[in-house]
Amino acid sequence: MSGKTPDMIQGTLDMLVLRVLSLEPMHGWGITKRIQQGSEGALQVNQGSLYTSLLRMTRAGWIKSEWRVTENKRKAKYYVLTKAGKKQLGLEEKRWMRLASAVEQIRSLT
Amino acid sequence: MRILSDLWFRFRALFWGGRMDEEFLEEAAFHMEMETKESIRNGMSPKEARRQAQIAFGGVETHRERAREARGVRLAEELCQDLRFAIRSLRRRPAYSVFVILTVALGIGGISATFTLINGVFLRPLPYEGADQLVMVWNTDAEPEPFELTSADFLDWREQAQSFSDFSAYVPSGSILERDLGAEMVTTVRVTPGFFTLLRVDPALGLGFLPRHGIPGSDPVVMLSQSAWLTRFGGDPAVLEQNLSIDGEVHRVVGVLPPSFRAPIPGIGREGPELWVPIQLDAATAIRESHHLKVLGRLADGVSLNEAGAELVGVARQLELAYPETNAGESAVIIPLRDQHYGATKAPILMAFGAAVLLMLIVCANLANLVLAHGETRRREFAIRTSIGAGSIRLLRLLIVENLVLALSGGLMGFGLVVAGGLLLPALQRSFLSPVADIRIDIQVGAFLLVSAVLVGVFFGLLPLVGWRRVRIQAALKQHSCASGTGLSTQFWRRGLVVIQICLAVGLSVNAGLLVRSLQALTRVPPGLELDSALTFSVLAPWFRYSDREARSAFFEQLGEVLSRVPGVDAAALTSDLPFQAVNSYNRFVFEDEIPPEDTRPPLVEYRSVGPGLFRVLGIGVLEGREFESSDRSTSPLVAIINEEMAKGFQGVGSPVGRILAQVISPDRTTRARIVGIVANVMDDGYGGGVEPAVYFPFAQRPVSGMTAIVRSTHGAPAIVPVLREAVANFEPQAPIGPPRTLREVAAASLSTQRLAARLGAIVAFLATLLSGIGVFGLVRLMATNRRREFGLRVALGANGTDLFRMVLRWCLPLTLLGVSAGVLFGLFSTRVLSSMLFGVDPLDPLSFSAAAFLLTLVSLLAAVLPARTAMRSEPVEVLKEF
Repeated sequence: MSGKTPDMIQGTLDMLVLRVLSLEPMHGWGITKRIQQGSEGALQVNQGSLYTSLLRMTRAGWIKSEWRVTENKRKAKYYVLTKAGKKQLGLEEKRWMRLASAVEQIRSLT
Repeated sequence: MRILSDLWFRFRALFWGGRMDEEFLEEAAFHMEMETKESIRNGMSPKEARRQAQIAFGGVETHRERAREARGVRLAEELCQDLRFAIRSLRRRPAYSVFVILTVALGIGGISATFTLINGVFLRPLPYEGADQLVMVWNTDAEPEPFELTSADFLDWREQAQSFSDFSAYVPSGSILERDLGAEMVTTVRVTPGFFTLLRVDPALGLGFLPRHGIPGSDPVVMLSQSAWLTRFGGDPAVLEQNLSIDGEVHRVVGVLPPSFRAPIPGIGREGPELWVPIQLDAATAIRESHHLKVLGRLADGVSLNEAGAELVGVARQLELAYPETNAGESAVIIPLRDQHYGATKAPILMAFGAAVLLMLIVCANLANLVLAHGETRRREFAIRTSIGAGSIRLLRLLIVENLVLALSGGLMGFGLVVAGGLLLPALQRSFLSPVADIRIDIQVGAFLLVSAVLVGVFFGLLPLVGWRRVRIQAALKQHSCASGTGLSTQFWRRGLVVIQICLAVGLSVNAGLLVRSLQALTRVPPGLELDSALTFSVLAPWFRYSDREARSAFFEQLGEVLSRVPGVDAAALTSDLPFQAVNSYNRFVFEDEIPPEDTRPPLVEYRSVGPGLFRVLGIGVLEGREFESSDRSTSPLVAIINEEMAKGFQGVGSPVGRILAQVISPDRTTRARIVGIVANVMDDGYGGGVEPAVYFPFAQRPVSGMTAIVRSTHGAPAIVPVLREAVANFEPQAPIGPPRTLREVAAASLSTQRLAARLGAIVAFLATLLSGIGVFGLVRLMATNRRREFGLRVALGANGTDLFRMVLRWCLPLTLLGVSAGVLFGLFSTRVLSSMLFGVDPLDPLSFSAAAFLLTLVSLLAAVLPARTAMRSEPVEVLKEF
């Protein structure tokens, strides 16, 4: 884990994972890579947080897991977005936008 | 939706948690492999790549733990683990575990079984709709016992009473059912047609009774009980509208009662009556003299018991004024149906529950001592567990789980005991519980059992908290266990518990002793007749063949002769009512020479119609005068025989023999019979209630339709019964015979309640004594173990084995005496509660008290002997080595 970039708050990580999975089903490592690449290295994912998040979201029924075979013929656990998860993603993103604009408003006061 | 998904996940995690764990490891392995491969692609060496991957991933174990925690089933998993620990540690101590389970089973089984009774009798409503409105309506007068109504009074009360929505009468009896296979006597109840409507019971088949069936002269009909329908007619619906020959008359079947119906008629037995026949009654045929109707009423909505009762009293008063000759002094009383059926059983059931609770207390005291002693020996184990990181809450949970396992196992076994107790139920319901009582093992009983078991488990789980702080404060690992259990407060509690056990055991033993002595007193009372070698069976004269009085009395006369002539029979006689059984015939008699005091009516006296030679056959002594003979016929002058008790009421000069006994039947009709003999009293009231005055008439002069034959024979019942049956069948094939019983059986049956009470009391006392003995044993053993060093020193200083033995016993004596004295005091209070059930025994009977005190003292001392003997053998060298 890189020391500089702070840990993401839990809700944010959830949202990002859901966003990644909304594009296509992916395994844990793949999700990590996507987030890191997608943010061009700015966001580093703490593995422990990731897997905890995946577990939590499975419990909540937002994602499902299934074992599949990768291109390299390796067995891996893929996560799939469920319908409930899709709805949750929408809610999270809306919330994020609201938070972002609120923060922006405060910031632009100075 | 989210919650559902969450629960499903947790459920899966609980049972397949292991697999989830493995899957996580695989996932982690995959992740690191990919990371490694990428690093290698980026140029790192494989070794470095792998190291970097591991660093990036973080500690697998930590993740694994977090993953496991995140699964949300940790509590459940830990409890499962606790359970496994508990079972393992209990298996290591089989004696302890088995003992605890057994005693818990006893205690919980006992209170649950008695709770079943309480549930059925007190808590569950009677099985009728609107049962709170149902009452029994009785006539009263100066006598303490209420009695039945006359048919004319019944009609008048029904018409005039506004506070009742309905009145119905019934008369339990028997009838002869004739079918292809022969004639049989069947329990029957005659009811007014509105009976089932009043109870709000609809027939399962057919229309049932209609009002017109109660009009005198209408076609006879009959209704069958469900069990009669199933057993006698195979449950065939075609039985409806069929004709049955009952008492020689053709009755049309108009209905079958539902299986759930329970006849509110005590004394008939669990199955209830088989046939129901309507009473045909109207104002023209009703009479005001014969009190034979039992009346059931339903209060109108909104009317209270008191209001209704007051109204009936008023109605009775009016009738008293209108018909002074028949109704003088008669009033009314109503009794709620619930009290009618359960009233007599409330006290015994509560007492049984009280005894069970006391037994449970003894069990708890025993367990408490055991658990405390146990907790002491496990202190070291707990200290070790604490030192390697077990939280104290976790340890506590462990203990509670352990005790819960024991308690619930005990509860399960206790449930088995309750079920076994259920086998007693038919006997109970025959002897003293009403057949209406619906006593079942149902949810309430199950819940009671479960709650008791859990409470016991939790309570005993929390017990080790006593002295818990000492475990943590003292570095128990460094402390020798010599200090175990010597804390003053623990000692006090231990001894106190044993004293309480002894006290309760003494109390229970005293009560048991009283019950046993009461039973003995009842059986020892010479009944005033000869019980052995006598066989009894009832015979009904078929009405259709013997329709008038002459014919009936001739039938029975000949029957008596036929029976006497049967080979193997020494003597035979007939009576309308056996001793030890309730007599249904009462009336008022006066000695004609006497003038009864103003405004009072002579008391009701039971009377029987008997055959010649009855007193000789029964072994009842004739004190004066003579027995009835065959010369006392219907054409001869009327005669009567009275018993000693009745004779005591004679206030004239000389003996009542030769005087006239008068009975007022109606204003212008008085029967007069000359008293020809006085016979000894018969103690035949099953409850030992004492002697009642009685009158006997020759059946030739007062015929009845059914009599009971008493046959004396030295041959046993199995040999003689078939011969008797054949003889009667040859004589009159259509006369049904009731089941034969020996006179001794009849007498014993009347005491069945007392016998049951005595047996149960003895069992409870035995268990209580046993448990308290075990309690003393445990305590003395602990004491001896704790003072081993002291004993060793004493031996070294010159004491011998006997001295030690005596020391131990002397130590235990004050405890025992304290317990026994407390028990005697407790007994003094508790036997007062029992006094209503006792006969011939003073509640403060010194024999029972001293026997109980002696028994418990002996048991306690015996229990102390074994550990005392062990102490006796203390070798100073062995003991000192332990320092």
